[in-house]
Amino acid sequence: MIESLKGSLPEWLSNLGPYPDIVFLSKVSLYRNIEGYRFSSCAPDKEKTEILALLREGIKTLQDFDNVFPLMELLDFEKEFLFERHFIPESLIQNGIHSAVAPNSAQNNILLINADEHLQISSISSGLKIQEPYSECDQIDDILNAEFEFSYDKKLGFLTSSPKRVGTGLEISVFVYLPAVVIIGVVSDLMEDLEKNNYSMDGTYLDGGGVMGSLFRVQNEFTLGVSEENIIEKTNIQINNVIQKEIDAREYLMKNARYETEDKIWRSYGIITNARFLALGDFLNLTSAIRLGVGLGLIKNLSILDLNRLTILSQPGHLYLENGEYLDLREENILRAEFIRKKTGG
Amino acid sequence: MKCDLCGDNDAKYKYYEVDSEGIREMNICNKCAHRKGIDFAPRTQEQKVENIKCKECGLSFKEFKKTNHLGCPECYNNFRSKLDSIFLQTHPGIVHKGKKPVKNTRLLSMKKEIRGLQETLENYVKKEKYEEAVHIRDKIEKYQEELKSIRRDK
Repeated sequence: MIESLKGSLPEWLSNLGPYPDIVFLSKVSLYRNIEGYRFSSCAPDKEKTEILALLREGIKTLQDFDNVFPLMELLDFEKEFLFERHFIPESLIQNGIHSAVAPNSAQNNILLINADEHLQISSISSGLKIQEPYSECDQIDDILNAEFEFSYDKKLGFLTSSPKRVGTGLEISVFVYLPAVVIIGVVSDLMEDLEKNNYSMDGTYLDGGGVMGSLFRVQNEFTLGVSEENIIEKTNIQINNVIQKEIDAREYLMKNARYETEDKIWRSYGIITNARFLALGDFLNLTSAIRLGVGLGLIKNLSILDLNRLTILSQPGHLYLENGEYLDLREENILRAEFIRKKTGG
Repeated sequence: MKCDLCGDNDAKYKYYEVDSEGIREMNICNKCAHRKGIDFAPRTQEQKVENIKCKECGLSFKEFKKTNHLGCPECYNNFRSKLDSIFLQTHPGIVHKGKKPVKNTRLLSMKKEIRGLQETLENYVKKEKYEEAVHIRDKIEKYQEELKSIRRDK
């Protein structure tokens, strides 16, 4: 079903945005609901089917959203693939029989139907870039708003199932690599700082409570009583603060534990270019260290763009889709190691 | 003071009974109050709110608190008294300051009209009233042309 996406690269894996070695990607979303229907969390199947049909029809007025994938028609590993590309939340891999996702041809703009809210309009950019993807979402919102009446209250703004998104319905998620912050052990301080400012920070890839690959998602937890411009401005300030923490941690490491840090980076490089088995967790941790090496100017024959691509393309769903069917863990780890060696010239 | 009803236990509550002879004041104990089916437990504002249900979708405030998801747009009106404090836990204000929807009322009403006509068309076809169906179909086509021109004008 999603054959058309196989072997394709989304735009945000084809170029680099600001602070590429620290900020992986920025994802901006607008949440909207269609007036006259219950929210997805409460709507009976009949209403969800109607909403899906209505939105699928409405999407046709937009240019460049020709592929709509109803999740019901997809295999589990195809849904995993979509999750790995940040098109759908993890919860929809198992559920989501009334959901559908429509990426544009560049795969940077994504419409998600019947997830937490009736409609999630998203735009993804490489690096720290918020204004541009917001403008993309805003434009799509305007076009669709001429087709539908969205649930809106004069005082409360756009109404959403979750009161955490009411008002602007604007959610900005920025994915940041913080290997040095993790090493020097100040992650929880940073989380507390962000929480005080109503931002959440979670690990992106979790393994039994631990965060794999030092990749975190920072996200605004406020949407009401503040304009979109203000949320964007505040988020930029917060993320710049996070970036500065990572830069400071890197400087600290290079000043106080230079050989240990360099050793960790080069060992990681040695392993991924030579390993015959690579589990996902190992791979994520190793590439995070290599990314640090590229950021510090130590590793020259691998670029951040290479690492961004490898991070997405060697996820399980991507390997399964490339292979055409499920792999057992052993086969998956062998295939991943082979794929990485081929791409890194190891 | 002993209970006016059983005469055994100490009276805890003042109880008023209204009948044809007028209002009678009584002092009664816990047990008798219970026997009469009177709930003397202080009912807090909190408990009352927990049991409020949305008139539109039937979701109770208690259920909302479990999932953190409201059931429908009307929930915002029905739970309003309780939601402001929840908003202020994360949001800087309780009044929307962002974008307003751009409504194209002409386009929306036109779309509604077309949907209605499509239903009529289906009914005519089912009833094999083809002459009427052709008439409706022409009308739909005309409306769709107009719809396109509205979109172009935007």
